[in-house]
Amino acid sequence: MKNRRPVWFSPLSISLPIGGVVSLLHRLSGVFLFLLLPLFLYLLQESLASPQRYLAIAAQLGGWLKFCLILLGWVVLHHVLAGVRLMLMDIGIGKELPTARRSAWMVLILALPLLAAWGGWLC
Amino acid sequence: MGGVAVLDHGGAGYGLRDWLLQRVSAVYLLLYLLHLLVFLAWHRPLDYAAWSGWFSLDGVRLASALFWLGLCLHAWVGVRDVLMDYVRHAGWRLLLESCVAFGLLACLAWAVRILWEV
Repeated sequence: MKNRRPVWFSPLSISLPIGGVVSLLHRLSGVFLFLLLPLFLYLLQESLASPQRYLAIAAQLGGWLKFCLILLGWVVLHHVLAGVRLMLMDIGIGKELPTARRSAWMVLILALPLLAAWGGWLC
Repeated sequence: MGGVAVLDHGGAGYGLRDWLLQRVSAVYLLLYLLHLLVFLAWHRPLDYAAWSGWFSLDGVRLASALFWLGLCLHAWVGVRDVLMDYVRHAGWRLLLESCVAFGLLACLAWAVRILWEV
């Protein structure tokens, strides 16, 4: 009888093409943002509740909140850039392999200066 | 329809509806975020008066409510796709999908409360 047991291999041993990396990060960033929805709502609530609570939140911008927002900045940036790339491919722009590979790199690279601008703005 | 070949199929439309919902909501979410960025850039440094004043405008309240609705719908399609891909057991998947659905509804209700309490 042929051995039908599943074969285990380390997922890290698979080398994804660049489009696969962008796609995986797109999915991970989406899940991450979903899990953080309550945090966004909490920040919105506190910032609008009263001048005192607004200041309390603003005070956090000197500490953990700034770090969080910079990290979130990258997460949102990647998710949006990768998403735009996908939607352009939906209408037929850039779906050929060489162009798709280049646009995948562009998504990763373009996120960096935008993130730097966001970080600079926060500081 | 135009250059979007996938819309020319003859299927029942469930998958198509969700796919379209995810795309349409994505466009609105992006437009709203860009508008918010412009607002933040215009009002530096931002004080409570400007921030709460902006959210007191009826148009902003409505657009923001639509933002959170769009975000919940967009997130629903995305997370449901993830669950469909990785949770093969129908019972567990149904449980998780239900939790996600209720969680998103709760977020939406919270957002509406925040927006109308300003």
